[in-house]
Amino acid sequence: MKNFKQIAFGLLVGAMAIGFSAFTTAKSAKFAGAYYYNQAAQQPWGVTVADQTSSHYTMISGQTYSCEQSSNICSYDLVGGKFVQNSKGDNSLVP
Amino acid sequence: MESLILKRERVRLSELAKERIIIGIRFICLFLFLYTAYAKIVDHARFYKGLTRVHLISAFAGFISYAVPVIEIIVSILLLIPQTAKAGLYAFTGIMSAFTLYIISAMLWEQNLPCHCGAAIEKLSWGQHIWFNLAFIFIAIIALRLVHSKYIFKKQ
Repeated sequence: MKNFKQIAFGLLVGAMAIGFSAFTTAKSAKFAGAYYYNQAAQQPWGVTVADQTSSHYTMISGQTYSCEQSSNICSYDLVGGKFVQNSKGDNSLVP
Repeated sequence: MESLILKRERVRLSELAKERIIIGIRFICLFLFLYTAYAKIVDHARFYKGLTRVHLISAFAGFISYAVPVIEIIVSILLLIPQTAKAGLYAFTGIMSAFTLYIISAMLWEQNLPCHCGAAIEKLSWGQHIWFNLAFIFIAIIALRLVHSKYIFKKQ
């Protein structure tokens, strides 16, 4: 009975961990997720259909928004398995 | 000499307190591993991409990207079941030590480090990450010592 209670409490903690992880993962994907830089085919700002070949992208720091409207260098989010041009930028070049 | 013995008596924990501390540490470790494993599974493509950027392990990125969350889940199950908790704590300590050694070696040899440790933990800097890992290793060792002391007590 004591072991059963422990396992039940452990399962509760596990469920909380997964719930909390789902919450924080979803949030980071929306606001400060992964940023990718397309090396193979540099796409201009505002492209409607981004290149979807994952091997063309290199991952860059998740801490900086890096899009420059006037250049062909921009960063991308991976949203639902698809590369989407990042809508935020600070006018600094992708490192 | 006498006062020293009296001091040691004062900090001795009751069996119930030991039991509760061990359970608390087990569940904290379980929480951490399930929390990060879930993030790695849900955003697997990103985790894999990040691993391919680290030269030290890029050749095994595919294998590691699956192995790490699976191992974390297995250790969580070990920590959950009271009969396997001791093995789980040993596994947790070993894996966290391996992660810490990896971070230290990556810091020494890699210039642009990606962190794909899962969810909010990615917000930590690499230095903070090492301290974070060391804190978890420390509490897991405390739990193991308490488990060991309980075992000796029972034998006597």
